[in-house]
Amino acid sequence: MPDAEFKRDLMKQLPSLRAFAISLVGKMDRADDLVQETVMKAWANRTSFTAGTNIRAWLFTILRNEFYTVFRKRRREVEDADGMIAASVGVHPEQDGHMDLADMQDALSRLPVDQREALVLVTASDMSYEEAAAVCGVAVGTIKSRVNRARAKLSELLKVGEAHEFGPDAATQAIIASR
Amino acid sequence: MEQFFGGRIIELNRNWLYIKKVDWHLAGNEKMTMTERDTKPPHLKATSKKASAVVNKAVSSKLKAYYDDIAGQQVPDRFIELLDKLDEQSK
Repeated sequence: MPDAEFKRDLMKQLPSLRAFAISLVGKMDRADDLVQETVMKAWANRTSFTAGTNIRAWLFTILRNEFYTVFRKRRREVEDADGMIAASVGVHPEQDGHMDLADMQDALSRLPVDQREALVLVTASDMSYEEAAAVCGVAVGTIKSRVNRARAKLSELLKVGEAHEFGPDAATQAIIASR
Repeated sequence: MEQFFGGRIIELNRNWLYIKKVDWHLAGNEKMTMTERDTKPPHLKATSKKASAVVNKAVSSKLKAYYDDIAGQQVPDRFIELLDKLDEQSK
């Protein structure tokens, strides 16, 4: 594959690489560092990419491997201080059911990392279970059960399924009440 | 806690109404011990599958919205510059 073509295809994947990275690490600056490492690794190994195959899955696999390398290193350094803080503080979704990015980031950070990546790949990156299984290097059935568990946990954390989520908001209720 | 059909209403803040059955045992000296177990009304059991499908869909679309929001942001220049540099170096 010519360099120019590889470069163009890699550039096209940058937005979704960033979205995947932020979903994994939760912090924009650290996510962009992860994307930068991924770009450098991908470029260095570009000859091992087979033209015509799935470049997104290939890049996501590199990013994921890079994430785990850094994640493990960091975990040894400080016993995941962020994770411990995240686990001890409750999530407070907005009263009107509207949820901002920070709430989702916070909730995602509370999911076990293997469940988090599975859910993001399948639900947000629109990967098939097979693609996600290939990226994570596990069986399709494993991905399916991780996605299910992650979704259940996330709905709990975001309090999806409670009255205020599906019921009319305060303004609508006021209109109904005034009739 | 309110008494309700021999059980107690323990949770009203969710959509579902859970009733906890309480069995009282007298164990000497008027000391009481409790055993509790959760029960879910049968009509809710029938709809729980449908309800969880709705919840799953809602969670998925929230996550998708979050992801698409990030993916829709402009890619920082540093990545384009990095790729240009890498491309230049390998020529």
